[in-house]
Amino acid sequence: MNTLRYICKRLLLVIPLLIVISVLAFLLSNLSSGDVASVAIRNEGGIVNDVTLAAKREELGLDKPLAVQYLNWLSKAARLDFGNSFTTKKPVIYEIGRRFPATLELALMATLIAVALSVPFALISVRYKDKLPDFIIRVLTTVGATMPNFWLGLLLLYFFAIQLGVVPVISGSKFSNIFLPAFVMSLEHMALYTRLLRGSIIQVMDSGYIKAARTKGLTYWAVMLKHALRNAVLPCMTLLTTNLSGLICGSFAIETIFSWNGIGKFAVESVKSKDLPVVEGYIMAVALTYILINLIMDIVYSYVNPRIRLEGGKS
Amino acid sequence: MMKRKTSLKKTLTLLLALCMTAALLAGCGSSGSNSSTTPAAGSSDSQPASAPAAEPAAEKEVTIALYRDGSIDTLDAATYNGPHVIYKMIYEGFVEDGGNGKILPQLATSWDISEDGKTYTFHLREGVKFSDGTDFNADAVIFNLKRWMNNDRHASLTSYKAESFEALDEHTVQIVFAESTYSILTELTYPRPNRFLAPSCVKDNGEVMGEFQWPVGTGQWMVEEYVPDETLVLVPNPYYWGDEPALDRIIFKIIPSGEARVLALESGEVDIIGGELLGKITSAGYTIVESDGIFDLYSASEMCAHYMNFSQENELFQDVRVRQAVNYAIDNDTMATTLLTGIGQAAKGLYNAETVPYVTLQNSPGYAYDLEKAKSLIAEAGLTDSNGDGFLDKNGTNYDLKLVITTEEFPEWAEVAQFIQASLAQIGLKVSISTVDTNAYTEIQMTTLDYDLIFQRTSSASWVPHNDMTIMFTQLSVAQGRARVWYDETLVENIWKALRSVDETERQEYYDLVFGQINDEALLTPLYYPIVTWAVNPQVVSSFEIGVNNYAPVDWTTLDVAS
Repeated sequence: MNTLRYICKRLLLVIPLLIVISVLAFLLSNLSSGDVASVAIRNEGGIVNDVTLAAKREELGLDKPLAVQYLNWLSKAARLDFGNSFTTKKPVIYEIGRRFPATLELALMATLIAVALSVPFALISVRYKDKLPDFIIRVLTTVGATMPNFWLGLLLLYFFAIQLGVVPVISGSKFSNIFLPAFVMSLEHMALYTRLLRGSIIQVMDSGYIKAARTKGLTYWAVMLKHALRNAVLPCMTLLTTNLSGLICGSFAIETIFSWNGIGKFAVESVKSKDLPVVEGYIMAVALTYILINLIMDIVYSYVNPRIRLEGGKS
Repeated sequence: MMKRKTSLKKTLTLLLALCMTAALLAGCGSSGSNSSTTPAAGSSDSQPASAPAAEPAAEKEVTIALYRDGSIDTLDAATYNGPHVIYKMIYEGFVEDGGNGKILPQLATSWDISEDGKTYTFHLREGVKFSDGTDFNADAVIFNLKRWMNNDRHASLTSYKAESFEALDEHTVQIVFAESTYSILTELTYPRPNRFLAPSCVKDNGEVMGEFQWPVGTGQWMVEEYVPDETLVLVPNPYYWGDEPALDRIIFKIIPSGEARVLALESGEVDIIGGELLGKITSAGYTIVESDGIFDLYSASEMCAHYMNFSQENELFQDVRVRQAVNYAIDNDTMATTLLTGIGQAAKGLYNAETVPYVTLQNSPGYAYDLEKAKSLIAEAGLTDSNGDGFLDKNGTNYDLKLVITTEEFPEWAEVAQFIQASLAQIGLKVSISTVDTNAYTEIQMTTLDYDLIFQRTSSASWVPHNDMTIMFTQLSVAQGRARVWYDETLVENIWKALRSVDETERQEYYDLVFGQINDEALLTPLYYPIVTWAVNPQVVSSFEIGVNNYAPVDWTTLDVAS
């Protein structure tokens, strides 16, 4: 019951948050350089003059004051109608919805790869602490965490697509092409998880119950996998969820490099062509995703670890 | 303790399962969105199926990079939604651009123009069918005219306003235009909006303002498959009245990024990149494909020109001698040979006299590099370096000229701007370069005019010189009273006289006056004429020929696969 009340409260709090974000999104995108109508005409290959400008402004609803435009937009947005894209002329919600699965797919795959690599890495690193394997892994993770992923993406793309010819330059959003971009995206997260997991396993391994288990005669790996890892994994989960929303919302560089048709690439193109409804819709979609993922995680948390009390719940 | 661990385990398992399900769902979802769109039912009934799957061999296909999505599901002939090139391949108009100002018949085999230049009577080609097998006739023409005539969206064209239009018989259409300019026929060659789509591709078959469904035209090609943001496949229109193309299929791959296009050519994913409105090769990209040494490179001069113009508000530039001095001080030949290899040739006058109609070396000779002359003109204008800072001043005003450029679309402008900066420093003019993003640039160029000097480019293909003249020299808006480049009443008068003259000799005379004034009064500084380049994979493609203009960039009829 407490949880239900908590969820309701959190969901209600989302509304003012979204309104603030929407004001910012609307203002900032309108403040950015360039006149929307003339950019739109130019993108269509037309010629800007008094008559075409007036016609375009009317067509795009830009002939009204900014405040009126915002209120009109808000009242429609409340009904999930974000207007039509200036460039594709189709509803923003359709355009974003159509590309969202590709971005989600990429983010989830990147998370999977990061987890799949970081757990064995951390285990090896701990097992051979301060020896060569540990050293190699620590160097690798430092490099992975610091190397800009767009740069690495370009390098790998050049190597695998041009030199080896094993992957296409244009990924589209075909599932078979997902591994390279997902791998590049996962690297920095993999490095973080590995380091974090390594640290917390080492900490856990020092605790009394581990020592007890070891004295009981259990093998190293049995203790490690059954007792230590399970307890060390919690801090990683926090990071994992924050990162998942980060991956969904910050995929534009990788999507652009690999020509992955997700919402990030679409947003970049829309910013360039001053497609305001799309930019605003994208910001709202991303904000909502971020908020929802965090909310879900907070709730899941309370089940995973009851020691973490939900704010507002009676203890 | 034990119990808690079990619940943790459960949750973890659950989370993992959720993750995997989501990944699976996402996979399905996107493969769903990847599924190609095919023609809407109704418009595709009579569309012949592509070659049966039983014959896999000998389909002649070429893959070409396209810089933007095809927007096929909104490629209404009367809109500006997709790439120009695709409009041209699918739809046709009354007439076609034959290059260098020549007008060729297309869906109209002949036409009569009245004395006053307003009434046009078009005699339509007989026996023409749309790619869905429906007839092209005067009714179809009137249907289309109703869709785009007198709509202010098309106000950049003279031909958009008509007093009336009617079908005289099944194969004759008469239009009375509101305004008479010689460029009406040229405008009718543009890829949009004055093209003809089949009335059957509009919802409720033939409802004039009905919703557009799927592109169906009379052109040489028709859409076989369209995957938004990924591919667009065109196949020959079986009902086409003209020449049958050599290819069985053209696959356009959508690649917006210039770097990715070069990579895709190198990896063999596309066979052709290049062209102005298809998949432009950047200057950096050109160097790469050239050094690869395995691609055939083609280049052609086009009708576009890049120039620098002055702010008419700046009193320094109100003195014709200063403008001339700037022109004399810039050595276009050195600039082109050192900075613009493969992308531009040195400009003389505003336009390339070899490609642009009505432009001659007599009316646009340009200014040959002459530093001494530049310096003496500056001295005549009363500019001196009175405070000894190395730069000129006049009546206590220090001049620091703001040169606005954008490098997103034209990376080469950065180096060209530095060249100009150094050149003008030689005659004592201080220039500061201001590099802005494309949107800010457009705003400065079109609205605020907040610059002392700015790089611009002209239109190209069949827009020059007639449409350019009004864009560059007539008032941007009546309220502002300024032009995009320079405003001068005599010049504008002569421009309109040239545009309205029906007689070819008279028109040339007015153009001589126009170009003469632009040149002699140094209203701008011509810089270079860009070159359109192509890189073609000779292992896949043969018979590549550059087309007549940027809208028809390749000769689609001859293009073939290598044997």
